[in-house]
Amino acid sequence: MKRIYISMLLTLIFISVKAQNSAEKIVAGNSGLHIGGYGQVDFNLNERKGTINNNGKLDVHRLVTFFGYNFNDKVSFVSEVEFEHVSEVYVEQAFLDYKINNNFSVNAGLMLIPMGIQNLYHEPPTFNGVERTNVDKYIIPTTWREMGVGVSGRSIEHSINYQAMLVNGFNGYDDGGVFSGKSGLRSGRQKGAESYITYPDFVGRVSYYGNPGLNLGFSAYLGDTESKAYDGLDLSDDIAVSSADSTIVGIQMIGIDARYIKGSVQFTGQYVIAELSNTDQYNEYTGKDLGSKLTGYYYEIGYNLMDGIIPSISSNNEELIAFARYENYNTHAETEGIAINDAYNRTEITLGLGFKVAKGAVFKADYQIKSNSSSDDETGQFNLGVGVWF
Amino acid sequence: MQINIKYIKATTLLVVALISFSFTYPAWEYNKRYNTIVKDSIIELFSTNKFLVKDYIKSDESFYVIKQKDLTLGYFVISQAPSKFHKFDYYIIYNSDAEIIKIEVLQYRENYGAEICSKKWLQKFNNISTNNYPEYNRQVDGISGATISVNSIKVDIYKSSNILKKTILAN
Repeated sequence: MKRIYISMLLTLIFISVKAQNSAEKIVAGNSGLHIGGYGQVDFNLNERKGTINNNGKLDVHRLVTFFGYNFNDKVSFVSEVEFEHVSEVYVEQAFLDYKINNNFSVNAGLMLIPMGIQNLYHEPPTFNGVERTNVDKYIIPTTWREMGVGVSGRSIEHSINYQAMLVNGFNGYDDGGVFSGKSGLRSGRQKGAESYITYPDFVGRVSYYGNPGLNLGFSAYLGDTESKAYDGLDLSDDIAVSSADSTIVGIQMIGIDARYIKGSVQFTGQYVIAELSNTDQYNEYTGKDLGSKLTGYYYEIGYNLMDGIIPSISSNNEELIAFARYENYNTHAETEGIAINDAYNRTEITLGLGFKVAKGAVFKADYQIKSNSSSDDETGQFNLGVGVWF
Repeated sequence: MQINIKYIKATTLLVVALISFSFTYPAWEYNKRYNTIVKDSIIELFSTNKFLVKDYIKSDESFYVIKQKDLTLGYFVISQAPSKFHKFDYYIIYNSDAEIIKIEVLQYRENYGAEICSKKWLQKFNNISTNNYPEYNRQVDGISGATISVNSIKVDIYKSSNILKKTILAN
């Protein structure tokens, strides 16, 4: 019997010694606190119109601190606190991520709405140009985040990532109408600050990366906006219900996007369309001028000039990306019951440079030519910026 | 007789214990899933299921040599590299000349950047030259939305491949 015990003891010692091997650490996963962040500091100057002077604007546009905690391999909490224009404080993300298995998670809390490219990938070194594209401001209101529950996952075998969520809708009506013809749904974001809800909205995104270099995305958002007119509403009062019904807008938004990298060339394109219903009643009831169809698209090509094409500035650690972008966004693509305002059909051409001095740090400069369909006037805007992500 | 059986049992256990000591018990044996995946890949790549795995280099990463009797078939390493906030696990199988013949991600934990798990993309590392980094770097295109993980795995593969090459040369 003694020998049995000895052999068992030896086996145990053997296992415990082996457990300290480096590969064993891999199996243990990685838990702990992670701190990160990103920031964008801008200078914008509108071109002088005739003799009318414009002052330049210097702004710490965004400074976001990331705190994430991995409880274990399956459970992590993600939070981002944002300082916008120095003095405005927001929580940009705050959700718990529970991995049921390696490729499937359940998430709950304040999350980014998976629509288009820049709402999800908005760290300044990940996009060209000092400012985010205006398609991703006026059509997709980045940074668009709401409260809800969702699932996210991937099929590595099929080269697919997906996300699906149930979230609160936009706040479309509180003391009055919130949406506008000029900025669409943007002002209705609830951002997790005492958000309210009647019925949840659905949003989903699928991306496919089966062809090396190419990443294709498809996003869809379906639901109704929220309205404070429903709070405390007597559902047996037909007139009250009918007027409350006039304060909501139905949304069907679809986005498709493509990103392609081949050698030193990068291509990005995105198209978004939002069909809104009930806008005639909404506008009549609130006196607003919300369009019934919002569209936006851009395509952009970039090239890394430090890839060796110009030997004297060739570099492996740094990149100098020259890019050109054409962008159109129209918050009055169609209207119901009101006249189309051509000034809301806006076009921008952007030419610029991004000097990536490190993987997560970039100096940016660009020039934008802005116009709209209501006149032949063009205005120029010059932008300089610093972007970091760590 | 009662005593004899006890002795037989004890001796058997001791023999079993000793046999297990005499074999190398690499740490990768501890994760059954990883073990199965890597073994299956070795069987497929070298078209044999008669092979032995032994510890080769003990460093931050664990390198193993794949042997058939005295013949070296190849090597493999199970490694870990960082994505944005998590680390992912992957392995590289090399032939006997230390050329990459397969890379596969075993576990990817981050929500973003899983595009690097793409088999088609990882195939681009097969037989890649790891003599100098810029040249090596240029041979594999980036992936949109996975920049951090792309750079991380590139650097890690380059590092591992050169550790292995140096060790083989030194032996």
